[in-house]
Amino acid sequence: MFATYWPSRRNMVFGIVFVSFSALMAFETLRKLPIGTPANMGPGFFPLLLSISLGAISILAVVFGQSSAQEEPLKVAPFRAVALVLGAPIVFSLSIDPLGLFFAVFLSVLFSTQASIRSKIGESILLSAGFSAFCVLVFIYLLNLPLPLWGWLIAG
Amino acid sequence: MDFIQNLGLGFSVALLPYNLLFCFIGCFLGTAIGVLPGIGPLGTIAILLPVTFGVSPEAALIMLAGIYYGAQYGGSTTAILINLPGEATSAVTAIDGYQMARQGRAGTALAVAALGSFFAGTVATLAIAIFAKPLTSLALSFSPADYFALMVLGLVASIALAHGSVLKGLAMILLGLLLGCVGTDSYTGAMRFTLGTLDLADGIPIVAFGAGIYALGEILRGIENESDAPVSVIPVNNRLPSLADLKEATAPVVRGTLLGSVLGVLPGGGALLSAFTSYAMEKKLSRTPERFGHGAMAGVAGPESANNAGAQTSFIPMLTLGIPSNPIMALMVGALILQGIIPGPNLITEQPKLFWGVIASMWVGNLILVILNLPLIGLWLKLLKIRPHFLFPTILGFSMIGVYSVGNSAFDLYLMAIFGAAGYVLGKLDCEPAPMLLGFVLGPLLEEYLRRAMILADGDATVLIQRPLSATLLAVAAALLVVILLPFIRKRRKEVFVEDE
Repeated sequence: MFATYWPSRRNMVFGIVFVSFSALMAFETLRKLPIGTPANMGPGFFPLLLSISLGAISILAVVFGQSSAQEEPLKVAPFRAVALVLGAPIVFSLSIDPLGLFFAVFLSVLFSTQASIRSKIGESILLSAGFSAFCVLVFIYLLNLPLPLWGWLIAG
Repeated sequence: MDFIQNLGLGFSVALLPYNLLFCFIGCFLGTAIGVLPGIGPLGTIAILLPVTFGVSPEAALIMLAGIYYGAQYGGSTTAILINLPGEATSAVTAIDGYQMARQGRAGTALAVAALGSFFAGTVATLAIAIFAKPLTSLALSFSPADYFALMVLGLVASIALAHGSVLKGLAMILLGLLLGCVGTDSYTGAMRFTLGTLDLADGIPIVAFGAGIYALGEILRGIENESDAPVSVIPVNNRLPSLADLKEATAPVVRGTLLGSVLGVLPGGGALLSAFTSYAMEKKLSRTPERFGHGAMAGVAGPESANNAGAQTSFIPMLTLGIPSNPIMALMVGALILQGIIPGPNLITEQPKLFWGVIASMWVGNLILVILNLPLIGLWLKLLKIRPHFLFPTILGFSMIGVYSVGNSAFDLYLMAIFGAAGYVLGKLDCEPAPMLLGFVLGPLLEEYLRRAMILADGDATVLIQRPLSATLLAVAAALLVVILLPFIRKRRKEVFVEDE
């Protein structure tokens, strides 16, 4: 009867990701957290309830989801752009303590500008430097946020 | 007429020059981010959250509120003039607003949107003033089971927002709830899913979570569609709508306002749900539904009023119950907690100046917004001249500073990157982030009330349906779930059988 039905590839990926995540969470809960009783729930009760429900719902979502026949082509940003955008917070994180706010903003913003195919390096450097100076002015001098202007590497 | 006195107190607070200044800043920023795609009220409020620590609680909340409803005004401008909703809630406005603009009625569409929003804002302010007090007294009689049921209803209602698969929406809620469990268990002090690091002991910071999912996700989607075509803005010609236009818009504005005011109060509701529902309703009620999508005035007037009313009345559950009904309200709760104020039923008696001041400021803010948006529209359109590849790095820069400054923690930026990646992947799997974020926000509260209710009932789960209020709320939630699930399953079965033939 259901011979022609097969979940779309997107839904297969969804099912695999969600079911394994819920299994992992359930496993972690059972291994580390006391479950308790309904009258006196332990820290593991709610997470266990949630992970079991999540697994069940995810399977249902795949079963009742789009079939492969309806699948639309997937549009994904170029890997380079994804890596540069997602990498920016990491650059910021690595540079904020040693270099301080100005350089952390400068480096991470400059890093992210390269994600666009239309950016030119000269323009990008100008933009990043101007923006960093603006942020220092606003956040440190105007709003007095307790952010380090220069990190330990520079200020010593 | 108790509420008139209270509103008087509110205006005396809201009109203080200091608070007026912050109201203006909030509305100004709100409009700006509403116009700009890629950064929304959630990200902006997150960035400004640490800043509010230095000002009075009234000024802080007044400014943050202004950002939220101000974004509703700004979002409609770009939706109408370039078919690019600056704000998710304006996506509906773009459908008919842009068509109106192409027919040379841009000025009319903008004016109707702004005036409709102003009307909605006025009514919503009054509604909050009238209903806040009775609701607060009602809230004091809520049992833990009632709170639990209310939140379940809110979560289920939030799936109505997600387009696409209802079951995936449910899965996203559960995922959000599960992520909300991360951190120290409040009853036993046990560490849950902290991966052995102290950085996660207080749970996943909402700012890093929200900025990762929304800001990074938006930027990546923007890069996907990168093209060399310059943004084409439709010039604004006739500024004032004719009397006939106003007459045509009146009924949709009133309906949108009422609908938005009601849906905003629902946990899980707010501007987004209101706008989408209003559009659907106007189309159903219209005598000329075929005009929708081709420049129907009601398609602009209704949703624009509804989203503003919804944005404002969504403050009600936060101010009276202490329950944030959407992620933005969760950040408002965060702002109050930074000031040492715990929102809940006692807020109205303990902090009357704050409570009524914020409410009155909404009306003041709406007035400021009409002025900011109608005569000064040219100023905002200049913002759109900024090229996207200059814009997204700055949005990213602000978001990173915001995430970092909440806890001065470099670790939070790794979380931001991880959630950015997760958000992008989930989007590709047709999973909407909104229900997940709401689940994440409500998770700890939901668990807290469930545990309390079960302790009180000595482990008897029927306690959840013994009280009339919680039983009703849960029944409504269950009915809602069935209503949205049924057509979905039926359609699927039909598809399966069609394929068989």
